[in-house]
Amino acid sequence: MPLIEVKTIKGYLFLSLVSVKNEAFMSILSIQNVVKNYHNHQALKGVSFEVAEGRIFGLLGPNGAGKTSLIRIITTITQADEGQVLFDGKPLDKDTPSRIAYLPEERGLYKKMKVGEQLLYLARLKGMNSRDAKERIIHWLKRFEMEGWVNKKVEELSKGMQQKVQFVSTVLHEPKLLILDEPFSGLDPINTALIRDEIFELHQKGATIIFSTHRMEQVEQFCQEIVLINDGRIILEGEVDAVKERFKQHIFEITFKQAYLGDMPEFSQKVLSREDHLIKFQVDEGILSTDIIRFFMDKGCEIMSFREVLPSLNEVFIQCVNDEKSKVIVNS
Amino acid sequence: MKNVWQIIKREYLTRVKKKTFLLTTFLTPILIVVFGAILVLILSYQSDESPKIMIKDDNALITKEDIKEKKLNAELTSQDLTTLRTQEERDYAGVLYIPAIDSLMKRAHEVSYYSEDALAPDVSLRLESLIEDKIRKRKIQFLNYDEETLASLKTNVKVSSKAMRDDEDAVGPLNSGIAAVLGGIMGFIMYFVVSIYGSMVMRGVMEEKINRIVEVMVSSVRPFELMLGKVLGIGGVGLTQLLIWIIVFPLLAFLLQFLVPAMSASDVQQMTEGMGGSSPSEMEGMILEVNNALNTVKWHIVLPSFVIFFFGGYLLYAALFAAIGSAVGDDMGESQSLTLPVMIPIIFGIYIMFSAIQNPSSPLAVWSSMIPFFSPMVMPARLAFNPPMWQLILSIVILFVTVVAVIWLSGRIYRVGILMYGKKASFKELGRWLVTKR
Repeated sequence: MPLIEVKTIKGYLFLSLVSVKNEAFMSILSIQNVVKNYHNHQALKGVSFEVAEGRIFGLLGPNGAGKTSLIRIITTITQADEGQVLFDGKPLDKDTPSRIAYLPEERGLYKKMKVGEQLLYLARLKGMNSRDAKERIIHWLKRFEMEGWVNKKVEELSKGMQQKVQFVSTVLHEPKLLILDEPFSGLDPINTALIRDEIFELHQKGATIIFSTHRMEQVEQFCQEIVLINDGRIILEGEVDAVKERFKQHIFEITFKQAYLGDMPEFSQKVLSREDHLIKFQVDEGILSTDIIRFFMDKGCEIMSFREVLPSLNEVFIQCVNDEKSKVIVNS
Repeated sequence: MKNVWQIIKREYLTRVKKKTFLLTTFLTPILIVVFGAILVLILSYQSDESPKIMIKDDNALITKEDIKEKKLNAELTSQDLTTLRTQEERDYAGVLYIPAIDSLMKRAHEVSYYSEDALAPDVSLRLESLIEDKIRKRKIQFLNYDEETLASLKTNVKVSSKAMRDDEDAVGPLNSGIAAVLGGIMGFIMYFVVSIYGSMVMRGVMEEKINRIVEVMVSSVRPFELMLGKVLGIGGVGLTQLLIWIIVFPLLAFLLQFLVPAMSASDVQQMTEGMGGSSPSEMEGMILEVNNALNTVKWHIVLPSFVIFFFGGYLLYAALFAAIGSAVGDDMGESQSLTLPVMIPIIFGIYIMFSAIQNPSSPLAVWSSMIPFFSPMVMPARLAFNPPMWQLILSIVILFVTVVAVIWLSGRIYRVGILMYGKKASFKELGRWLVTKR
């Protein structure tokens, strides 16, 4: 059943129709038990997950985990050895590429081609007709204030400019699904912000976005849902908030108006840091925030702020991957 | 297939629009022709500037008219040889002394040239031929013969091939020399096309891989389409260049006749004569014979066949080069060890071609025409010799079956290779890629 979700991302207010994990949501991409073998190693060992339409989905994992293998299967560059992938309810076919955009981590442009020619060429290969493509190119170049660059060769552009052209070339055909692999690498903060805004804009217009990166702070900024792959298997998946909730360590942080130098409650397991006005501590499982607040109020403290410290995705990522590694060691 | 057309268009247009393409296409023929013209000018540059020589002729063999006719900067003198040699102030470089002939009928005669500098070779040749001619005339006179009698003694015999049965055409053309030249030219063009445009395909593939555009491309088009588009697009560039040359070369040669009036007929005559060549009438005969030979060439078979071999040979090797290009890592320079196995059959092909134009129906030539890696070079070289039709057709069929197979195999290597970054692949890996699933 669809719900209205309100999410703020760095000051951007998002009101989007999203679906909660239940039977009713529309899955745009369905990965079903996908296996991919390469010579003497298995890149994907039976991966399954669903990507709901209109979401920003994080595909995470350490280097060599199988992310690129999976993306190449989705983009029809390669094929799964076992299992299948459904895009918009249908198996992948030769028309799939024209509805998907892929910005690979290893990306580039024809250096000797002019910006306009290059964009037109790539748009034509995505099945656009010449007139629509030209219209869209002009629109995008205006948007990025690059109208004057149409007849410049790509090699004459700065690296940041090239990245912008690359981004435009990726999204020109208005894809339903956008797969971005480290989209911000090589961008300065200004261009990062620009591209980020465009990604949000596309998302708002209804595009589903799969975002692959190692930069966990970007994942927290962008993604609503994640899948963490390690060694060809999914080791963690779910809504970003739920994942953090699952990995929470019951750590709370309180700031007081006056200095508090008194006792700590019995349910406090470990004090992580303590100053006159601030205490960060871990409590036993099952202790509610109301219990904590009540304890300090009973002591007559005036509480300025109170918050539960949730783990960052970075911490979750490292913990998960390391747990997996130790499992492997134990098993072998 | 719509995508393949887009790719062909891009590959073709970006190359044809390049300044370097225009330069090489139009400058190469101009340079070759200008180079040839300069060569001819240098060779025909003579006599007027050569230093003056004195001729002391004790037999009265040479006349003033002879000197004029041979365009020699020389003067007959009756002065004493010693005086000539010892004179302090002189306006001549040397003295040619023809001593009195003691026995006319002997074969070798010697004349002396006294000088501080050696005699220019062409002047020396002209003097020798002049004196030989004069002594010969004396001998004829002495023997009481006449020129006509002597001319009738000269005999020419030529073997000309005829068909075994009357309703068949002759197997060899009238002049196998002309056929050899024609075959050599066609074989060499094939060698040129295969190696130059083949490596252009390879470089194109490597560039795409190194620029990292390739992963962007294959998310829109099939790797096979990308490879095919590149191969066909560059093939189009090659064909364009060839067509331009076919038009430009004869045009330039034609224009040159007007541009270099110094190259008059008499100069050519003198040159060939100076080089110890044939007499004017023999030259005319040769030209006539060349024309006859060219007329007997079955152009309606030779030209279409050549175009077919052009495409077949190009496609075969371009596909191989594409596969090699995809297997090279990030370093443009390391392609050499991988290109070697492709270059070797090309080099063998060109050597077999040279042998084939000397002996166009030898087992080597016939068998090589059936081996698709050699046939694009060997068969065009044999075309002018009217090879049996069944050989021609069989050769083409084998070539194109192989072309299809090689394009398919190369496509399999290519689609894996282009997505492998880092170090270049070994041949073992290439073999594995052939059987890898997509």
